[in-house]
Amino acid sequence: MKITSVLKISPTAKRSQTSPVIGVPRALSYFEYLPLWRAFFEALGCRVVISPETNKKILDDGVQAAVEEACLPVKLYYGHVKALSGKVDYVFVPRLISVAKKTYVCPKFMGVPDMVRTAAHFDRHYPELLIVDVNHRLRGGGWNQALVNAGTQLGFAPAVIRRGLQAGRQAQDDFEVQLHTGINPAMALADWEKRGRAIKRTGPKAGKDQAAAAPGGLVIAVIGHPYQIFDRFVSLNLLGKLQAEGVRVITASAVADQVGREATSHLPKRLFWSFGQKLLGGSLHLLEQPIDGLIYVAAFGCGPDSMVGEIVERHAKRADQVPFLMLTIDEHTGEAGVNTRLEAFLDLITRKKHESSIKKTRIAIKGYRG
Amino acid sequence: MGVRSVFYLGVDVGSVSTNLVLVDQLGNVEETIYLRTQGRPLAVIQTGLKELAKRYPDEAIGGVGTTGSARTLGAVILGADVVKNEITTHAVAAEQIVPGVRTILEIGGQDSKLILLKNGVVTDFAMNTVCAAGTGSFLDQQAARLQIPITKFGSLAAEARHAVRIAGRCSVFAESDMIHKQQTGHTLPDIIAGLCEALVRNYLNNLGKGKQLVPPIVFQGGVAANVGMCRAFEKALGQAIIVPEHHMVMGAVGAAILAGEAVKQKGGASNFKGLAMAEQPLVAGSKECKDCPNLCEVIEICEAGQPIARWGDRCGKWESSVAAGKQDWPDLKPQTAVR
Repeated sequence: MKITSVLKISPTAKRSQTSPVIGVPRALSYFEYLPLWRAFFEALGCRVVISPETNKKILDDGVQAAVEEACLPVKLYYGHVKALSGKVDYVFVPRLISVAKKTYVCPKFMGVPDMVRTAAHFDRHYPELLIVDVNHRLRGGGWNQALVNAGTQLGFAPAVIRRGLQAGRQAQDDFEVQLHTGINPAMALADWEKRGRAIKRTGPKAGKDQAAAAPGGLVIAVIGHPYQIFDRFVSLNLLGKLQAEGVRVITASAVADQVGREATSHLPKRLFWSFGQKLLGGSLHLLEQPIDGLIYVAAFGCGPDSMVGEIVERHAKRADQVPFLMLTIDEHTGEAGVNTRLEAFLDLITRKKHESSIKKTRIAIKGYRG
Repeated sequence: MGVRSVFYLGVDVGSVSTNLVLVDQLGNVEETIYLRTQGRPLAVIQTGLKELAKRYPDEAIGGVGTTGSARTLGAVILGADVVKNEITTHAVAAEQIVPGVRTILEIGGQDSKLILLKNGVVTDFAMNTVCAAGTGSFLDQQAARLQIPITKFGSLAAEARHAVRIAGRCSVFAESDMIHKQQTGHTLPDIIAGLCEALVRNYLNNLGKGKQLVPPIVFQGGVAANVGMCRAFEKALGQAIIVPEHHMVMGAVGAAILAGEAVKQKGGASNFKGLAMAEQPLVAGSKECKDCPNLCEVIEICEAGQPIARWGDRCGKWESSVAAGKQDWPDLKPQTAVR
């Protein structure tokens, strides 16, 4: 039996001696929940293997296997699952249905496990999957229950699973607290990518990152799904390019959910996509902060992005013209197009900032009309 | 032209045309050279330099700026003082020639832009996405299909009495729509005028979505030469459109002005390699780097056999290898060598 599901798997007998190796695809919700997963599985005694950073092969594998209408991040997920083939016993593929009260996650997240299973049906190079549902809408159906199910499927004793849960929760809480200090999320995540057992990042280092904001440098909010903006391949290294220009980047990850909710409380209707709410709340909150510009990174074909991006743009324009740039990214996005827009956007901000001084030095104006 | 006058050279290496201009200290355009890129940017830049060398000595050029999609390539071989994106250069040039400009419509060979300004500063911009419908290339293609010189395309449209309605959303569909209209007996001027209106509609829907286009409005880029397109814009916007004299080369004008600013800021010294670059044997080659699964296509530019720049690698190791003095290029057999 190649494909495992909640109902079919019975690894208890199979793996009584050694704990299984768990694969984690470096895609989609990975960028939000890695600490939770990694600390949980490692507390159970499992080894955790993460798929490599997105590269051309992963992209090609994903695009080839995925359904046509999926967005690029979902297509990449296939590639990341496949990249773990032969390296792990199971790939952890949670089915995210609802991760917070009264919200849903994008329907494609719900379909991901089944989409990948279908692909695996046609391609024997896919690893076995460990699928659990995450559904806050059911009583006790959140992450805790999902991980308990995962642990149970792997044949661990309830007491061991409880300890694992504690470790996972602790790790995730630490991670989120760290994010809210404004630390670069990629750096916070890097600790968890390197080693599982929480290495507590101490104050000074986090402080150093903050200090990287050169006085007088630009501060730009980059808003987009973490799986877009923190994936260097997909985002064409957008964050790296901004940092190379001396820009300090703030993302919606730095905005606590409560703060985001307050920023959107005046809207006529609540957004029911939890990730969309995170981006909208983050944007509206950051627009009230002293930022020089806002870049919205949308995934081509993403329904929530097409709406959230539009709302953010309108608010950016209302909030006394915070310069706004929308970058829509898919697998065909050329680096030249992104570079041109980015350079022009930075020019726009810089020139706007130094408007008066430039006017003085601008060479005398003389011209004609045709 | 006195020997003592100093000009700034602006070079806009676009997908379809390569333009070289000289502007004087005051930002007045002294010289313009408009060339077709024809897929050979290196050779075309050299052709342009040869033209300049006939009339100007090296000392006449006090600084160089490059722009356009091949701006990096141009910068490497010229020794540019400034490398700027097309949006900024177009805005700088328009503000110079039409002070107080608020809206810039720019349609070039393969892309189109909309730039909004206030007080001489860009406040918003939009560029067309992957699709090239409505850009100069499509007009070129249709002119070729109808065997009308592109230069006459616009004046034909101006003869139209009743512009037909053509779907401009996609160039493939626009073409079949045009053929349909021609087969049912509409006159050529009416069809061409209809095409212009369709392209303008497409442009305004794509780029102008949600933006307020405030006069003065300047229309520049190669397509601004097309009277039919100007009329269509005026009709759609209900405003007069200003087409600057040097509308074809505005990107290069902006690059030249910015080069002047950059050189002054640096204290007067330019990196310009000299007009003799026109005679240097320049070779560009590429290889697929197989060091990781990304399989980047790395480009190398060689001047007289010596690599002067490499790029195209995501990790940057080839790019920095030239500066670091590592001239080796393991297993490089240029897959393609273009001059």
